[in-house]
Amino acid sequence: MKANRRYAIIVLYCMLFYALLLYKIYNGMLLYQMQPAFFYTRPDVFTWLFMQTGLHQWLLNNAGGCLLFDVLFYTAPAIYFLHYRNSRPTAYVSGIYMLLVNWLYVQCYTLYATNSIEGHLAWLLFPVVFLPKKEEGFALLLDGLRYFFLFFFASAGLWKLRQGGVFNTSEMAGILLNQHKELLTNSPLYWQSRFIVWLVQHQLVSYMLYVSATVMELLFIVGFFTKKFDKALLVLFLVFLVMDYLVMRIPYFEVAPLLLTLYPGLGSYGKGRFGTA
Amino acid sequence: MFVAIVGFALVQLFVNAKQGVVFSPVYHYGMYSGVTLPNTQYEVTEIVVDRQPLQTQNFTPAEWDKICYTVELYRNQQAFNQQLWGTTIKRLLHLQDSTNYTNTITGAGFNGWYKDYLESILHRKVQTVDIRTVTYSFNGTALVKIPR
Repeated sequence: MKANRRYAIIVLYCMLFYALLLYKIYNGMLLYQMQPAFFYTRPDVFTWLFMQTGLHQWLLNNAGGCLLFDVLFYTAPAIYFLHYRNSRPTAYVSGIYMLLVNWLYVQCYTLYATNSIEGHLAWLLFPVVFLPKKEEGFALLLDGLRYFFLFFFASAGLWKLRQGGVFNTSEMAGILLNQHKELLTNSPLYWQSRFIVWLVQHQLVSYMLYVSATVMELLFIVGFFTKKFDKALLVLFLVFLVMDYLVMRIPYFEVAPLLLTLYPGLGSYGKGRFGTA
Repeated sequence: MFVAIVGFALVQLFVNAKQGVVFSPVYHYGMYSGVTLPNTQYEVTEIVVDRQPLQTQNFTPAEWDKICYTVELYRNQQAFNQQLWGTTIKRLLHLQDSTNYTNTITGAGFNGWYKDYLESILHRKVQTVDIRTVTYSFNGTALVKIPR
C-alpha cells in the first residue's frame, strides 16, 4: 500500500488510542474495571435524549455489559484500520461503525464518576474524519477538526478574560488549594505537596503560571490565520498536557488525538511529508 | 460538508454565548476561568480504610480521582440529578418518568459497592471503610484541622 496522509493519520490515531488503552488499564479506568453503580446527569440536551435508551442504567452493576462495551470500543479503531488497509472504497462502513460505537461508549462512560465528556471529545469527533470516501472530503473534515481544536483552546483563554480569572492575582493560589486539599492534608510531606504550598505562598509565581496558561491558550488564535506555527502550537499543547498533570494532577491525555490535526504534513491539505495517494 | 462545518461552528458560538445547558458535541470550555479566591476554610474528604487514612501520594491522579471524586459525586448526585430533572429535563422533553435520570442506589448500597470498588483499586481485601468530612483552614504554611 502506498503511504498517504490518510493512512498515516489512521496509524497514528490507532497508536494513540492503544497507548491510552494501556494507560487506562494501568489506572483501572476501563468500564469493566470501574463497574459503575450510579451516574451523574449532566446539563446536555443530547445526553438527555440519549438517556432515554436506558443504556447507562443497563450498565450499572453489570460486569458483562461493561466488558462488552469495552470490547466494542477498543476494537473499533483496529477494525477500521484493517478495513481501510484491505478495501479503501468500503472502509467508510467501518468508519460509521466506529463513530456510532464511540458515541454510545463515551456518552455512557462520561456519565459515571470522574470522566468528563469534554475530556473525551476527541473520540466523539475524530471518527467523523474517516467517513468520506474521497481524499478531498477527508482533508476538508481534518481541516475542520483543526479549526475546532484551535477554538477549543482559544475559547478556554477567552473565558478566562471574560470571567475575570486572569485579573485575579490570587487566582492560582485559590485554585491550587481547592484542587489539592486532600493531597495537602493527607500527604503534607510529599514533594508535590511542598511544591503546591510553595506556589500558594508565592502568589506572584503561581499567578504568572495562570497567566502563562491563558496566553498559551490565546496563542491558538494565530492558527485561524496561518498554519505556519502549527508545530509550535503542537509543542505548546504537549507542554499544557504535562503541566496539567504535574501542577493540577489532571490527566487530560484523552484529547491527545486532536494534536494530529496540527502535525506538519498531516494536518494541512496539500502535498505533505507523506505525499498524496 | 462545508455547510455542516459552518453550522457546527455557529452552534458552538451560540452555546458559548448562551452558557448553561449544552448539546453534545458542542460544549463550552470555561473551567477554572471564574474568579477563585483562597477560602478561609476547606471541607476535606478523608477516607479511612481498615483504620488507616488513604494518602493521595500513593495513587496516580486518575486513581485518586476514582477514590475521592466518586465519593463527592455520590454525595451530590441525588440532589443534582433530581434538581436537573425537576427544573429542566421534565419540562423540555415533556416526560413524566424520571427513572432514566435519577439513581435508585441507597446509602447501604453505595457503601457495599464502594468497599468492593476500593478493593479493586487497592488490590487487597478491605474490612472497614470510614468516610469523613473534616474542616481545614490554611494558616500560610499548611492546611490545619479545625477542632470541632
